[in-house]
Amino acid sequence: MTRLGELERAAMQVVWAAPGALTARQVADALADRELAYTTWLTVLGRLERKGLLARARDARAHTYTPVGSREDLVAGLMQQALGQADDREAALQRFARSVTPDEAAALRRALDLAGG
Amino acid sequence: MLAAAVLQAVALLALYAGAARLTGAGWTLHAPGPALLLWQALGLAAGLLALELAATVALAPLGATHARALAAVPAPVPWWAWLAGVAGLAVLLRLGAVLLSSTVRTLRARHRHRVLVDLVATRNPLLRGTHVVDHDVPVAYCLPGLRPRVVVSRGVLTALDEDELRAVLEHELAHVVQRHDLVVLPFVALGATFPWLAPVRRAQEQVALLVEVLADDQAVRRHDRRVLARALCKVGGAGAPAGGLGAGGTSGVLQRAARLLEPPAPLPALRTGLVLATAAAVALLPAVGLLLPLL
Repeated sequence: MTRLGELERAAMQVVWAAPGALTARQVADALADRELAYTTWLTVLGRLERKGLLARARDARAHTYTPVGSREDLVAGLMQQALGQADDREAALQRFARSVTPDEAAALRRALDLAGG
Repeated sequence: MLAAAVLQAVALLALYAGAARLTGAGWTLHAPGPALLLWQALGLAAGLLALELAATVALAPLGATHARALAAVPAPVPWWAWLAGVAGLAVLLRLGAVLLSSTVRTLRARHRHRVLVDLVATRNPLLRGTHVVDHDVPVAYCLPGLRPRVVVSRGVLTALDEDELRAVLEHELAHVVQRHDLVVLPFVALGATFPWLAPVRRAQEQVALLVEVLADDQAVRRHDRRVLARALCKVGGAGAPAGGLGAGGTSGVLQRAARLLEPPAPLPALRTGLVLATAAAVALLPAVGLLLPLL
């Protein structure tokens, strides 16, 4: 993963863990141990917003950021795409084993038992 | 010119019939590599011949050969020639546009998926940098491309033992290294262009299955066949998710498992040679088709 990708990951963790919207300053403070400039975090947050992962709102004095979806939402979306391979006309990913019907699953187990596996 | 158009159409129909036969052929699972080569030749030849036929029809009214037809272009053109020309051009443009947009859609979906994987997955250095997504349903896949990712769910880590997991990762790595996505891509595009043609849809399914078989073969070079078959059973048999299989389609998992448990005899050298010679002949067809209207 690129360095920027790694920073995006870290910023998302902070935003996900927060109870409410955060300002860029608050995100930078939470990640102060990385000793990066405030403007770096501004850039990272801007990238995440362009990717549709963060929503930006204007607070009284500063912009605040909230996650568009929870981490669980993103995982669920990923798995839905991964499991829906049969309907995935783009064939964006190559799955090890498509889901089989119950009949096929039974036939599979029988074949394995016969082979002593 | 009319004869050329007829011959091109006959060649196209022959390819169509050949594809239908290849779909049902049992030997393809014995020799997935040569079978895929033949499929590539068929797909390429059919695509090119369709374009040539469109061009021949468009130019036919203007002269006996392409050269004379093109020389005659400044001359007054009858309305029916315009019609044929516009129809040929429309087919040509539609083919190109759908091929392009289908490819762009695939690459975009892949990119978006990769961005999200990088965001939420943890990496497991013990498993060659595999990305692990926190989800119960066992699923393993790869995102092919220039920046490939092999992704497994936590469900896979709990369902499979270490041997099975390594065999699965070897299978996914074969997809990545052998660039199977490029083998599948033209057929995905053809399927998007002619979704109403059943043989095209079946060709797409066949090519997808053969690519899986090829990756299975690569994985069992270093892993036990039964271990991989067991992994197929555990991952494929786990909870049928929403969406599932398209109507009438088979997952191909059973065929692959049967093939792993009872390895098929390799195709005799003579028959392999015949398949390769056929692929070469098929690939040459469009060149012949191009020469026909010049005679």
